[in-house]
Parts: sequence; C-alpha cells; structure tokens
Amino acid sequence: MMSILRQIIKGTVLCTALVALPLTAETVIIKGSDTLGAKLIPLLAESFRAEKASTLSNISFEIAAEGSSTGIASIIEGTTDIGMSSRELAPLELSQARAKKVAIAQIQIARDSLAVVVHPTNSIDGLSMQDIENLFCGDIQNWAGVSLQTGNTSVYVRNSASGTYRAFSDLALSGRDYGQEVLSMAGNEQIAEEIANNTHSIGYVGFAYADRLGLKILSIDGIMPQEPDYALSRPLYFLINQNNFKKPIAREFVDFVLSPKGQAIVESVYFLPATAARNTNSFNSESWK
Amino acid sequence: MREQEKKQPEAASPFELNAKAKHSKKAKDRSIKFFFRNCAVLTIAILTLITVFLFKEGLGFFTQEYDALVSYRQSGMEYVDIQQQPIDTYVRLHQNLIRIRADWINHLREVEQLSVNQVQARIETSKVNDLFFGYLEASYPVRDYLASQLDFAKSVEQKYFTKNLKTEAQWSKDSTDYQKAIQQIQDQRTEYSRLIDMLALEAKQRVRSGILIDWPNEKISQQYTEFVEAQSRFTDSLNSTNLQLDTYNFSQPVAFKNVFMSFLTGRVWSSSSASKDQYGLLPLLTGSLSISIIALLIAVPFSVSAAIYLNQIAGPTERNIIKPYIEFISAIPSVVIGFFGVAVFGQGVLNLSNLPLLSWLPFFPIQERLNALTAGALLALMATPTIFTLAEDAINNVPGKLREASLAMGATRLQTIFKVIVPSALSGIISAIMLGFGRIIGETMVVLLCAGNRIKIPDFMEGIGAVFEPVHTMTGVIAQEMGEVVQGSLHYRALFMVGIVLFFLSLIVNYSAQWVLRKYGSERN
Repeated sequence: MMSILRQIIKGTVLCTALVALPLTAETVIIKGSDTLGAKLIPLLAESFRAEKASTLSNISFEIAAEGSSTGIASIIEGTTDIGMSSRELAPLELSQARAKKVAIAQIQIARDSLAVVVHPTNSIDGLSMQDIENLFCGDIQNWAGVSLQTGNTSVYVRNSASGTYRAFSDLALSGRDYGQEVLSMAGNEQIAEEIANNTHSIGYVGFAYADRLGLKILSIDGIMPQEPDYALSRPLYFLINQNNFKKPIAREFVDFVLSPKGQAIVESVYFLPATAARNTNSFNSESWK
Repeated sequence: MREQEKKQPEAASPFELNAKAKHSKKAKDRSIKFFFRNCAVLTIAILTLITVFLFKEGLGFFTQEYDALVSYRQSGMEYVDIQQQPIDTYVRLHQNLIRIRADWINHLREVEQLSVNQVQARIETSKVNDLFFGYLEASYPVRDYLASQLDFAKSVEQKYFTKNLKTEAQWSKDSTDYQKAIQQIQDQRTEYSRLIDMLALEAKQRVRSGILIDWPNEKISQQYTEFVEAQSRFTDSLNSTNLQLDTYNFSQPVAFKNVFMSFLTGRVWSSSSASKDQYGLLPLLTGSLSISIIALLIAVPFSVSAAIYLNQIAGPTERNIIKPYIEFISAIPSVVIGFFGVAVFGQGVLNLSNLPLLSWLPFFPIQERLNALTAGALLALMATPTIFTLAEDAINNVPGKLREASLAMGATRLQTIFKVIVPSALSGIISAIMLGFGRIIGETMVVLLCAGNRIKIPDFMEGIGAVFEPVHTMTGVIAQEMGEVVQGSLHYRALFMVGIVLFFLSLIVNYSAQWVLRKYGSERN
C-alpha cells in the first residue's frame, strides 16, 4: 500500500519536473497577419530554433495568425512581442498607440505579391488594372464583360479583418469599395479551395498560395507576380514597440529574419525578399536598434 | 472490522435522533438551501450583467450613427454621393449591355457552332467593341472626378468632425476655413455638370452606333431596343439629380428617424467604405431568416415524422436504436458539421448540378458550393435532435385513453395518429419547432463556414434559385468582424446592435413557444 503511494509521489514529482522544464525556456510571442503567420514565420522560427539549438536549450514560439488588425491591436495592448502586419497603420490605430505611449516601428521583412487567380479552365491569361477594378467593384458581373466567356462572376475576397482586404482595395481598386457581390472568406487557403472548385470564379491570394494545382495565375497589364514591376505587391512588416522591446531573444529573431539566411527562407516560400522592394522607403533594421 | 463500524450508527440511530442531531441536520439543510439559492442568484446576476452590457454597448450606436450622419452631410460627402447616383445607374445599364454581349456569344457558340476564333472575329470588331467596352469607358472621367471629390470631402470630415483632432486644433465648423471648403465642393458642380453632359452625349453616340450592328436574332435585337429605351430614361433621370443638388442644404438637420432607418432598413453593410460606413441590418436579417426557413423546411418533416413513428408505430427494439442515434447528432461539434458541409454536401450539390441530366432545371448548374442551401441543410441536421426530442415528448404526453378510445371506435391506427394524437399534441409540436428555430438562428460556426458570406439580399425574384445564393448571417458577421473592430467605434456598436436584434429574436421565439403551449396545450387536459 505504502509502496504504491510512494511510486505515485515519485511519478508526480517527475511529471512536475517535466512540466516545469519548459517554463525556464524563452518564449517569443508573435501575433498578426495570416499571410505571414501561416507559412513563413513558422518556417523562420523553426530554422532559428535549429540555429540556436547549440547555445540555448529551449526557445519556444507562440504564433497566432488572425489578421493584421489583431497584430496591431496586440502590439498596442502589449500582449505580444512582435506583431505581424501586411498593411500600414490606420490613423486611428496610430492615435491609439500614441495614447498608450507605444512607439511602433515597422520593419519590412518581405514583400508579398497578390496574385489574381481564376479557375484553370478559364480562357483568359491576363487582365488590365481597369478590368480588375471593374470586376472586384461589381461594375462588371458577367465574364462576357472581359472575355469571350459567359456566366456570372463569383468574386472571392478575404474578410475585412485581414490586411490583404484593405491592401488589395488600395492597390487595385483605387480605394473604392468592393462590390456587394463579393464572397468573403476566412483565409488564403479557403479562397484557393473555393476558386479551384468554381469555374466562374476570380479572387486573389498571396502569391505563396497561388502556386498550387487548380489555380491559374493571371498577369496584370502583362506582368506576372514574380516580376519586380508587378503592380499588386506590398511590403510585409514586423511591428515592435520601440519603448519596450527588451526581450533579447525576440531581437535576435528579428535580426535572423533580416539576415541573408532568413531572406533565403523568405524567397523559398514565394515571397519577395525585403530588399527587392521597388520603393525602399521602409524602415531598415538600424532604425529600431 | 469495518462492517461492524458501519452497522453501529445505523443501529443506534432510531434512539439517538435527539435534538442535537436534528439541529445538525437542519443546519445541513439550510446550508444546502443557501448554496442553491446563491447559485440561482448568481446566474440571474450574471445574465442581467450580460444583458445590461449588451444594451449599454449597443444603444450607443444610435448616437454615434447620428453624429456620423451629421458629419456625413455637413462635410459634403453626402453631396458627392448624390453626384455618384447617376453613375451607379449608368453602371447598371452597362450590365444589361454585357448581358446582351453574353447572349450574343452564347448564340454564336451554341446555335451557329462557331469556334472561339470565329466568335472573336465576329464579335470583336472595332464597331462592336466601341459599344460594349466604350460605353463603360465613357464613364471613367466622371468616376475619377468623383473619387477626387470624395477624397476632398473625406479630408474635410477628418479635419472638422473627427473628435480627437477637433479638440487638438479647435476647429469649428463655423470657421471661414470650413465655409471655404464647402464652397469649393459646391463650386466643382460646374465641372461635374460638364463631365456628366459629356458622358450623356458620348453614351448616346455609342448607343446610336449600336443600332447599325446587325444583331444575330430577333431576341437579342429586341433586348438592345429595350436597352436603348432604358438609356434614354437615364438621360432624363439626370434632371432629378440636378434638382437634388440644387436644393441641397449642408446644414439641414438629420432626422432621428433616419438613424433608425439606416440600421433597420439599410440594404448595405460595409465596414471599410471609401464613403460613409453603412450598417444596414436587412441583408443579414434576410440571410439569417432564409437559412432558417430552408433548415426548418428540411428538418420539420423529418424530425416530426420520426417522432410520430417512434412513439406510435415503432417496436421497442427500433425505439432503442432510433432515439439514441438521432439524439447523438447533437453531440457532433458544429465545426465538424461545417467541414462536412463544405467538403461533402456542398461539393455534392455542386457536382449534381453539373450533371447534364439535370440541366433543364432553371437554376442549375449552380456556381458556388457555399450557399444558403448548404448552410440550411446542415442546420436542419443540427435542429433535428431538438425538434425530434421535444415533439416526441409532446406526443408521449397525449393521454393513452384518447388512443384507446379512438381505436375502440373502430378507427385504424393511421386514422388515430392523424385525427386524434397529432392534433392533440400539435401545440407541443409547434413549440418544439419554434425551439428548433431558436437553435438554428443562433448557430454560428456552420453558417460562417458554409453560407458563403456575401452581404447582399438574395434575389428572391429568381424563385427557387435564390436558395443557391451565398448569404451572410447576423451571427456570422459578429463572429467574423468582432476580432478587428476598435472598441467603442461605430462598427463595434453596430455589431452589438446586431447582437441585440438576435437577442430579441430568440426571446420572441422562446416566448411564443411557451405561449403556444400555455394557450393551446391546456385544452386536452
């Protein structure tokens, strides 16, 4: 009887030790954009961990990819170490940050092309910017308006919490509203899935997601998304609070992402590296140190 | 040893029920009573708190919307939006034109059996392109002008009406700067008139050139004639816009009625609009209701007949199988049902609609696999256990002597069921259906995954085809947009208002279910 009890106590102690062990590890919390957080950041985190494995025993990452707005909100609230964003800050968010004494620095870590995609049986290969505006704003709702095909268009867009939603509206729709007919989807994957299953569909996804079977990538004014002059490309940012960026491990991670090795990973998942930007008005890594 | 210990107090108890034991038992009773009462009080308190919070956050919507409407009017954004109206009409006219082009292409391909290149040669001549593409292109100058005007009006709004900036710089709308800005917007009117006149002229020319096109058949030529008539009406409608602009008054007060109407009867829900954000309930309400009606139409026959069968016809073995199985459905998490809906049901209906065998149906083939029917069918699955269980209870409550009396009178079993048992259980069945409806209208995950999330009132003119249109729902919009809103903003409060509407809807449904039971349920006793 007593021996069983003793064994149980032993087991409990062991378990507690096992559970307690990771508590000593360092955690980096990263929240925000789904475009970054779904694929790229986990990859970067993994190889960063592999690199640091010799020196530091345990680094863990908490990555939550729920849209840029959440990333910005949580950097303002101070609930994350690094925020991810695929758009610039809105004036309201800036004034909120100022009110909370948070100095947000944007560090461009990659560029993302938004690929306009259609079902593979669609006969068109490219569209003009004007056509794209007309299609997504609902001015043209039939494929006969831009091609020799017929049938109503089904337009798939991201939901309004996503930075991509606003980025696309700014880049392609000259700031106009989306049409009432658009179907808003929760993420890139869902859009890709729906477009692959709908012959009359059109939508946009991050270029990283367009590279899969069952989607046809359109050129815009004759330029494909991987080319540098592509019109629908935008910078992707890390956001940090300059007044409170103390965690050395988070700092090292940002450095790692900007290093050539990190940028090579960026390219490996079909994002453009941060340096290939057309307009390099972004923050460089020095500005936040 | 232990057994002895156990037995002892039992044996002693009849004699030892003295005052002390009684007292301790009473104290125990009292403490249990105290615990339960406090649990009940706590539950009510939390419920009240939630309700108060909901209303506190939601009702602020109306004052904020009032402010937004005032600044919308006084900053001139409304003025610009009035100028936008003819362009919206124009774009809709252009859509008719595109439909004519689509019919023409279909005709060439299906009736004349031409290849793609031949179709292109026939339809992409410069004369034809001038009409189909030139018609929309003619509106681009006005569109650009309106975009810049809207930008300007928006900057006026931000300068004079956005609250935190106003306190910083002490801007007031009585200042001469503001008057100048408004004057500037009004002065642009001449430019607008010039552009619109140009548009009307050019549109007329394009349309006239279309008359020379030899249309392939009588029907399309007829469509074009109708289009030309509509186009001439467009030119006439410009006068009414001009009248509206002439009589426009920037400082006209906003009626409070408009604030309510903008929410209750608004047809547009757009949270990040270039112009004023609009929060109209109607598309969400129709979406929620149409999904619920579809779900009930599917669920009610199945679950009620299952309940009747189970209670009246099925043998004990069947009963032991059917009842647990149907009730097991409610154990499936709604997100799993949602996945099933997208991948299996939605895809299945889509594939089915593409079968050539069924192409005679007017609404087939469908395009989107995420639509009201997909969501409704899955919600039917989720409501079935609720309706089934409650309806079965109601039928079970019918006194056995009614059934016996009916059978004794020589009625068959079916006659007994439909003439005696179902009528007397009807109130219970109706209340079961209502509670099922309450279950459906509050469901979130399935509709978010399967309904297609298009914020637009379905086109009910299409008839049955309307069920294949994607819709958005009240629950879905709250779940989708709550994560992004700035706390305290108009958008945030609009979502809470939607929550209040939902709250009242389920309140009414539950209350009327009880009312039906009270009013008609007592008759049989």
